[in-house]
Amino acid sequence: MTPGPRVKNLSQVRAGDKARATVAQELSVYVLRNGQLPGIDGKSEPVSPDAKVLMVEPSYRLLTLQYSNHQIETLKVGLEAKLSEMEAGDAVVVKTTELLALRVQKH
Amino acid sequence: MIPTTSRLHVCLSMGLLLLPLPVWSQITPGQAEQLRTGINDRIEALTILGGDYLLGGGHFHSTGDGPSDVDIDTSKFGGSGEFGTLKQLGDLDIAWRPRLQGNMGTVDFKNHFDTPLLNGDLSETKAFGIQFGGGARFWFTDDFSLAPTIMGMYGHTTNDYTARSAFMVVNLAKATQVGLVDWRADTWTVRPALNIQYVYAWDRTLITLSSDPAYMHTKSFSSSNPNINIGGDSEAWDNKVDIDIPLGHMLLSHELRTGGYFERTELYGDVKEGLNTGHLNEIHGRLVLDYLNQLWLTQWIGLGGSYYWGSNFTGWSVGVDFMLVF
Repeated sequence: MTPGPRVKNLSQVRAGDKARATVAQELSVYVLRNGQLPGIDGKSEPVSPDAKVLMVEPSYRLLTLQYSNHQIETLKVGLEAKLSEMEAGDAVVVKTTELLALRVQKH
Repeated sequence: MIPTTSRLHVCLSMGLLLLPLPVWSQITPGQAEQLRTGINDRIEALTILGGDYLLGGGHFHSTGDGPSDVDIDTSKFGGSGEFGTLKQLGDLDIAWRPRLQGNMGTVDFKNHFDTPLLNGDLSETKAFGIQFGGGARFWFTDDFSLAPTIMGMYGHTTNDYTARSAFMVVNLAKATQVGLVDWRADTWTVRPALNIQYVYAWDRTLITLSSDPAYMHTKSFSSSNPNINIGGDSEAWDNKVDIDIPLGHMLLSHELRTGGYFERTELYGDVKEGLNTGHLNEIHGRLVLDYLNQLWLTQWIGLGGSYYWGSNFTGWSVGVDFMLVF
């Protein structure tokens, strides 16, 4: 997990600290094409999917995923998300791209 | 409003004017029956008006056929929605999910009489209704769906009459005795209905066409007077076009949306008689923040306003626009 630029005082957290954490993170969802994920350099590489798309609701920006353990989760995606390029049945990879906030209270 | 109040006024005025002046205390069985029918229709209509989706909360003004105009205030709170995952109906190409819906509300109106006979009298009628039920929504395509539902409703209606006119000061006890004034009634209503819905998505804008025929059977199970005995049937057929537009701008971390709807409701049976109108129209506008999937049971929160009109009344409402979803 990569801390975002707004995460502060992370150096004060020590291994072994008992903490209560509130986490806000940014996820990226990539649609696989023929089981392959297009790379930055334009080359595709085979990747195992994390979930499949159950439902896409562009108006309210809802993306419902079913993970490989059958857990279902509905995500509220950002305005910039390209939901028009997704449809039910698509295999996707879900990656945590940035830790936006981590509130730690020491006990 | 409204027709209901006009009806009350007409009924009461009719009843009292029909009494032979020298023997005001003598109300014939025929006259009493005529009055009871009017009052029972009105109780049924008020219960439906208070507890059903028929009319939103707001302030209404009757321009009706009674000798006095009347103002009424209503408040409403309710919501509906489907829950759970979509399931296939047998081997058919139809998806379905269970649906829950509920509504509650109050109607409060005061009728200040200014006719010579009843000048200065005040009749205040309050109705409270709460309904809950459910069914299922069946999707035949991504856009077209049907939702048969059945709801049960409890209604409580009371009338308090303050007599200041010489006529009613003398006759208040008699009018109460025959169930014309100072009554209360508890009712139950069963409401089977069908929602027919087509949603057209134009880019991210949603245009929803819906039609809702509903049947309501109402019966009293408790009343303060044996003459208050409600048992009747009403039908309402609601047709609506709604537009829901995402604006693409964030405010307080939520997307702004705008939209509104036009709705026309045709009324039949006792509710038509009790409200003294055959149809209701509503035009609504809103500016809201999208909370769907971000706040429990909430689709949006914002501001909205409606204007209502019918054959003999107008009304309006402005306030918080809160869409509850299950």
